[in-house]
Amino acid sequence: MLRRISFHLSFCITFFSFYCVLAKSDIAIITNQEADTVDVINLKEKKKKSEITVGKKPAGIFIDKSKKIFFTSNPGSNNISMVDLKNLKHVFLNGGKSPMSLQFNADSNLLYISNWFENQISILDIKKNKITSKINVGNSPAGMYLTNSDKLFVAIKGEDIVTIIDTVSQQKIKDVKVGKAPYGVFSDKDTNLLFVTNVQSNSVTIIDKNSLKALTNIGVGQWPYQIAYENKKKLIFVTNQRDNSISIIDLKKFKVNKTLDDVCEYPEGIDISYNENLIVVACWFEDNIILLDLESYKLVKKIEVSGGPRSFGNFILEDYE
Amino acid sequence: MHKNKFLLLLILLFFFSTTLYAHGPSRQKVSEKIQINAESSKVWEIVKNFKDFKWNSEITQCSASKNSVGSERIIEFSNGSKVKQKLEKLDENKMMIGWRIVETDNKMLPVNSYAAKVFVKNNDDDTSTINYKAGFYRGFMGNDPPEELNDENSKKKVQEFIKKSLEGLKEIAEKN
Repeated sequence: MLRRISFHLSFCITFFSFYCVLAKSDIAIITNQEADTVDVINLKEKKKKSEITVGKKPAGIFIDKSKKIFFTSNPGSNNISMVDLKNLKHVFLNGGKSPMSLQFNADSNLLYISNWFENQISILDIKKNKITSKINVGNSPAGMYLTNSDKLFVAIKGEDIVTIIDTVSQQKIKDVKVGKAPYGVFSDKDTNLLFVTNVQSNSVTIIDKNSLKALTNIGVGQWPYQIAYENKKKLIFVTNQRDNSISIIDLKKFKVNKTLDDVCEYPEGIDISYNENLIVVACWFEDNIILLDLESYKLVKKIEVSGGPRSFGNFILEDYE
Repeated sequence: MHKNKFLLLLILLFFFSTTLYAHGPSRQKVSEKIQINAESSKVWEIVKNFKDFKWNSEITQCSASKNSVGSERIIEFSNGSKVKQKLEKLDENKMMIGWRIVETDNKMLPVNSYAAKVFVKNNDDDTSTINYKAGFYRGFMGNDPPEELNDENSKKKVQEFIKKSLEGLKEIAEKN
């Protein structure tokens, strides 16, 4: 009986704290690898609003705006957490071993998972909680990006390539040679460009999503990790983990036009909130996130999070009510 | 009887699932601080001397050619272990030095992709605070690491090493 009461109590507390988020705002969803939690940050109020316990060592994140759900990859417990933002219901899904990056097709309800140690991509039907097929790829698949035209781009860290898969036929289309140890793969529906961070060659490779060709390789800071695409000025922001910096690349010139130094220790996940005019950066070593002004790049606020924030993937949900 | 069998099955299942439970490496961090009763400028002179890193009492020898970024040093320990490090950052204004491990010996420092930074900060009362930070992966990068090379033990070793180094630095700086 007591247990039941305490369960309801804890549920109410979580639910109430979440309810407070519901005034319309952009939210940032931060995976905390050292705390096994996800923090929800209200970017209008610039405050942490809730903390949700997920699986072990959460790293990757994918938010589906249409279904109002998000997924985290939990490499520590070899599963996926799926959280419904409407009622905060949290369920575990199969993720295969050492799940990393996540991409989701809302029409087919299929979640694509890169399995670091298994050298494969698992395809999970989230309705049935069943891995329906597996695609073998090269050594250590990391970041991924799924296009509207059913192409899945996968960084193969151990082989210095990006593998492109047709998700309909589930066949490999092509391997594109990139820099050394590619890790993150990012893009946006508004651009035909795709961006790859090469950790060991300290560079970003830009690939054309239509021609499937590498266009250029641009030097950035040490250990580039994640990239945010800015659709108005056509820029990308690259976090350089070992330099504590952000490289800003002008996509009209394919050149670094500015480097923001000393942003924080080990900047990792980065994303943009257009409504709040902010760049949000997860600072792994500092256990906080920082908010930078999207125009001036000045620090607006630091917000403490649960521990070891990574947020590998796009982690901002716009106009959340 | 049936109930007992069921219970046994549950227990077996439990053990089976826990042995299968294994996970990949996640990045570790260690951050240690120490207060030194010496002026920051004096401490910084010792800290920035990349060629002569002998703060830790277990280090018997340190050889390096230069004190400039890009220079490499080999540190030898009393147990015979050798660790090769590369100077990556040196900032006089911020009083910050950073290095990376190029080659390690898992007996001493079971790590991968290890990078460390040391910050010297001036306090108002003519003392200084030293912050030694390291980010790294465990000694065994694959799945199912042997116990001595798992996340927990790798972190413990780094923590011990850093603590001992800071204690040694304090001793050297406060001596003269």
